[in-house]
Amino acid sequence: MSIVLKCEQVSVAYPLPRKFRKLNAKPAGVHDVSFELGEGEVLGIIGKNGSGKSTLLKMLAGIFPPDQGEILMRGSVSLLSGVGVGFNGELTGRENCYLYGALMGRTKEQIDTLIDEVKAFSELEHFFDRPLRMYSSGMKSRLGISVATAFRPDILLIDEVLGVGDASFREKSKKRVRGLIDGSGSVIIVSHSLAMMASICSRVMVMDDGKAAFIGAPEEALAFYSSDFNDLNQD
Amino acid sequence: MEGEAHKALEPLWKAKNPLLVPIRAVMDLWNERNLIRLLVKRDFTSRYRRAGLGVGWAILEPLLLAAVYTFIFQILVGTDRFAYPLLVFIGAMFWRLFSTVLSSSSNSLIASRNLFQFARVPKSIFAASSAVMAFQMAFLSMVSILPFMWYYDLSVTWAYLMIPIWLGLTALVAWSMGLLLAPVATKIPDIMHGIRFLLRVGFFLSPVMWTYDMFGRRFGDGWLAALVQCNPTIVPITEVRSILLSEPTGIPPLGYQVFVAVSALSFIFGTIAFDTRAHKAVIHA
Repeated sequence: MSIVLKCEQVSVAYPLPRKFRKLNAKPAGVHDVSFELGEGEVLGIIGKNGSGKSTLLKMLAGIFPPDQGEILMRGSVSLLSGVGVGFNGELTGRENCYLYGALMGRTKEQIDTLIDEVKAFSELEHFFDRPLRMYSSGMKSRLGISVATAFRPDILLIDEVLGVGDASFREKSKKRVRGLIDGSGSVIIVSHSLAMMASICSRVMVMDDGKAAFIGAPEEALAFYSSDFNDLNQD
Repeated sequence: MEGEAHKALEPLWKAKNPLLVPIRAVMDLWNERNLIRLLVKRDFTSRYRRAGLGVGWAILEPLLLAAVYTFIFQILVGTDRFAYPLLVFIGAMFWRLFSTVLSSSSNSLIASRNLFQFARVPKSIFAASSAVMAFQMAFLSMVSILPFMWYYDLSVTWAYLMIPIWLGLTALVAWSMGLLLAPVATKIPDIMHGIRFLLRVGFFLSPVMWTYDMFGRRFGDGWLAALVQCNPTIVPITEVRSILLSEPTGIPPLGYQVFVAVSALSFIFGTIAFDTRAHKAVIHA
């Protein structure tokens, strides 16, 4: 299996507000994380809130660079995070899709080929061409997950985006993401849904306090997580 | 992916030659023109879709402002300058463009922080879209000079083609200055308050209600005139006024040299500072 992404001793620290600096508080962030991602591999990341999972994904997505260490990769990378982020209430669903696609670095032609599929999956029908301010929150979520999962990169990064919409749409979304995972070269997924992580990941990394506390087979990682953290989130 | 199977891994963050950053900034604007167009459309729609007068506000607002400024200035100072309301309109329109672009560009990293959650596009694009939007508004408001031209019996010349260029240069300088300040503004929120204050002061230090020749008559051409020429709005406003009235600007060659130097340095240092610091600044935003 060839390596498509290599993370070497990557660290980044969020700046501390001045009043906390005097207390010698440790800055939040990611500290000295190293791992490799193989082609076709699905790597899960689990950990408590604030353990650095999303920060690590943002660095891998190229949103900000690490303070130390190096990230090496080949192929296109795309981060699926915050469904509906960047949508505008005055634009129609269709216009918002074009804007979102452009923000993801897609060309107009690429979005043209996907727009009908996005419309069909969102089940918004005639609402698709109405301003977003006329949508219910569930409809906004449908549009968000539909457009966000429409693009298939070489390396897909997913940050906890499956808990939106009603029960039937959530199930449909999960299937869609599984299809996206199958269609993408390699995937890194952050989720609190441990059962799903066990079923789809080839390896799981446990993050604690910004560090990679464990990385290995899903069952071993979940056992490590369960034994170490009493307040783990039940699926 | 299969075709790339044997390609070597590449660093996600590559070291860049800072000297090439200004050129790359221009290339980014060109490569991301579709995104800029969509962001401008978003802002334009948000502002005018539900307004009764719609885009008419872009024309009406500077006209009303010019009427108020003219009234105030003529009551306070009194002037017999030919076509004074038109000169105030041009000054108000250019100042509005400059201040809007500078403040939105400085605030762009903070205002677009939710988009940095996932967007993998050059971060200067968000500042550029607000500059393009302000430029379009200013360009549209140029329609308002038609009644002035009829009233003052002004004739159209080829020099009128220079007006959009002066508008574009004004937006470019303000965008560059904003890029210089944007990363700092994410770390020190007081910067935005400081900019708002300076823009209020800058309104009086810029030729909105006064003209360059009024300044010359009052203060001569000594060190104060040299200092005023560092204001990057002096040359564009005075140039456009002279184009409309078909009269010389009265600005000495040094004034143009200072304008070119201020513009070029703002662009070079603004793009370099933004490129090296914006990625990290996102963490603060």
